[in-house]
Amino acid sequence: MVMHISYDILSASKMPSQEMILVENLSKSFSTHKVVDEVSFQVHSGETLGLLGPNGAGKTTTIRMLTGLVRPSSGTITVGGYDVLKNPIEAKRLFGISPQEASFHPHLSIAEDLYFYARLRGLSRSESRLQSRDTIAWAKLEEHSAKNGRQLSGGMQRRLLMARALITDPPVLYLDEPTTGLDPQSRHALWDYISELKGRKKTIILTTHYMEEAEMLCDRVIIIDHGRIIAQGSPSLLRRSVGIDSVLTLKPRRPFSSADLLVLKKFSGVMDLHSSNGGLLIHLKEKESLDEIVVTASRLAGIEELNLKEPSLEDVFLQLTGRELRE
Amino acid sequence: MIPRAVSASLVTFEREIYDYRKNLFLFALRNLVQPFFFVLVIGIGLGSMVSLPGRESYLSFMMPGILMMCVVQVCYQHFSSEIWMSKNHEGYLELLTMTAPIKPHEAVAGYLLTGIVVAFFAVLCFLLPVWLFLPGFKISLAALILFTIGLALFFTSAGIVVGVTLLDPHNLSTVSIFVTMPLTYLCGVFFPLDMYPQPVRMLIEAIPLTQAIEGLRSESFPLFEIAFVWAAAALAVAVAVRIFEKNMRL
Repeated sequence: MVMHISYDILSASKMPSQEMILVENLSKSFSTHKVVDEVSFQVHSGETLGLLGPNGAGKTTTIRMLTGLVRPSSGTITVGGYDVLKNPIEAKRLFGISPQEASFHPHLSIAEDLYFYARLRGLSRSESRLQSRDTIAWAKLEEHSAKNGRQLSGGMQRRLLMARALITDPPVLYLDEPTTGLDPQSRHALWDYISELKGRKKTIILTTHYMEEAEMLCDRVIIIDHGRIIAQGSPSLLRRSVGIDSVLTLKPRRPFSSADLLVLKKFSGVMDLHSSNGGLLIHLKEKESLDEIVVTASRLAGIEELNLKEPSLEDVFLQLTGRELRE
Repeated sequence: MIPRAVSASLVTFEREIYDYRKNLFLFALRNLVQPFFFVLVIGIGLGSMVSLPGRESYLSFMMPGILMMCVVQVCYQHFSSEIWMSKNHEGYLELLTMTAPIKPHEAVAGYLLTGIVVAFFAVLCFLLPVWLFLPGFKISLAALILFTIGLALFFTSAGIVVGVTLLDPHNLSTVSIFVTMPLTYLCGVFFPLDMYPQPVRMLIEAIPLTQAIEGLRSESFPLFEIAFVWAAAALAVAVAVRIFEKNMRL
């Protein structure tokens, strides 16, 4: 994507280049319900931070506070050294957002929609026309430029939202669940786009429900639950931090009884086990008793399939946030 | 170099007017059908059987009221639905608040400017055929311009307040009935205010639309009525900015 911006946004940043976003003691309550509770983190320039959490954990409210849409009950947010509440105009010049919900004007084509968005972001008419055209090309939507955004497929809409966030080439991007509801092809295509943005050293905050996505794209992740940060670090650090060495999945020939599960749980090295989809998932903190576990499980219920793998971010996530449904 | 705040308001204006221009025929049709029917059915039809002492014709008596009703219709109807759609359906206002380097009052200023322009367009659409078919119809252009601006500001502000506050689209049409219907029938569009008992008349006269209609009918230049309408408009604009800001930041 060729950018033709007449001013250098990065040079407008007041912050030392390594710390682009700084969030300190951020809280938000709606009446008596505390949605975000004393959250603090920073995002370095060029870093991709994943915000993970179950539904209702406070991710979207955090993003909305970062943009200034939701006023925090307490705490401060600075983007590029500008306080989002005290200097909203300067701060907003530094970031773009691809929101969770698609928002398109019902009477405007995507070219017109992008043109006016660029104008609102402070570009001149000629710059806006140029950027609108380049942005459509970047999102590979040239053939659809005369259509309304609502006429596009889900994947195209997501590409368009991301392209719109980039129209003034801001150094910071908030991507709020950019791949939710997409088919695998569209999701992989969007991952390529996000990887390209990482290559361009954009500072990105990505909220997602897909652990695979966070693992692949994020340099660091923060797991939020009940409005609080419960873990943070690189995906590999988090995988190590919960103490899971490996995950053993067994598909028994006959269902395990409760007594069988108690027997298996007593082996040294077994952290916990969960029945899921007719199978058994065992988190191991060491592999010392692995052969005994497999032999015993085979004796108790027979084994049709078994799989041993390193823990994924999803295992860590479920370990930290629990398996109960939140909605 | 245009200051950023002015430029931000002008971009909102540019976008709104672009949308309006794209759907000009539909917007014009939606807002001008009712006034034209009033002229045809009540003004020309029923009006031929009515004579008002000291007035040229019933139609010329009614015309200022219909003109000002055009402004109310265009500004209130257009902006209440436009802002509601932008906030609750398109997500545009949320996007604007989140990412555009524009302050809420600057966006409101853009909407108000659009309101003034579309109000003049509506007045012109109505006046041109009237001048064509009723060449004797006279009106003070200066007063018309000042009342149009004042009422456009007042009713665009009212539309913004309703559009940004209501959540249920069904309530949008209900509130609209309660705003436009009493104004149409009570503010002296169709009959002189002398018909009201004094206490009721005082209440009716407190409505800016009444002042605008009476001002346009006045023999002398309606300075008091213009000041009244503009003062009400200033108050309405202040309220609209406050409510828009409050509703756009959660």
